[in-house]
Amino acid sequence: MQISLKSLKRIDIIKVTGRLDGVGVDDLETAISDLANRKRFSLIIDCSELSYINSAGLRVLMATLKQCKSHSGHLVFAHVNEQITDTFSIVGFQSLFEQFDTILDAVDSFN
Amino acid sequence: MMFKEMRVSADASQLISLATFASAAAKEAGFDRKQTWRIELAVDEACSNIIEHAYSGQKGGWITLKIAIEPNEWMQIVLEDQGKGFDPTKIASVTPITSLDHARIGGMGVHMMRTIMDEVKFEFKIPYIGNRLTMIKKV
Repeated sequence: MQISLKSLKRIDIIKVTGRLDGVGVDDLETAISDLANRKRFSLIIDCSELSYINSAGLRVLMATLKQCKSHSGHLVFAHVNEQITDTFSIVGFQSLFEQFDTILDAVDSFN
Repeated sequence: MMFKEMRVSADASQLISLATFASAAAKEAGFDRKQTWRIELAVDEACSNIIEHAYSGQKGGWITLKIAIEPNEWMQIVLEDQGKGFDPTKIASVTPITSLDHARIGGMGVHMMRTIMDEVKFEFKIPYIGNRLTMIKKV
């Protein structure tokens, strides 16, 4: 799994590439923790290259959403493919995770 | 009927091999794309639990994955380990998750396994075998 970060003025876009599972989840937690240390709590997860997610990945995303909201921020998702959406739905996350078709739409949602 | 088997060390780096093995078998059994990735997820969650809980993340243990297929009818997945016999059905679980307050509550993996598969059965401390998880899904 690979993580790349793009920072806008108020929003950070985290692109996750590959499989977000028990092996890769520590890297994502570290990246999010670094952002939290800099008081950055308006996040977009770019899922365009995310091929797989399991409960380990979902738990981190859930905890991140909670953390962002507790700091008056938000976490939203862009380019979520059919497989990831299906995994969200198995555990009922589709109602909690706000999803957008494009990064632009996701950025606009913060305005 | 077809049988397949693989045995790997109980290490997180092996998860992708186990999941890919199950995914290929699911395709052979005749499952569609969506069911195939769901079966891969169920096996991944089951193996993650074995590594994290039955073996407490310590190296040296083994996981055996046995798959039986009756094409276009059913698939049986058996996972065996010799860990401490962790029963995931006994941990607190809230699913489906509808509130952020459930963020750190466990049981998500077991919920996924039960949602995806038609049958999920845990057996512990079987003589000469150890712990066994059997999951069955009809095509």
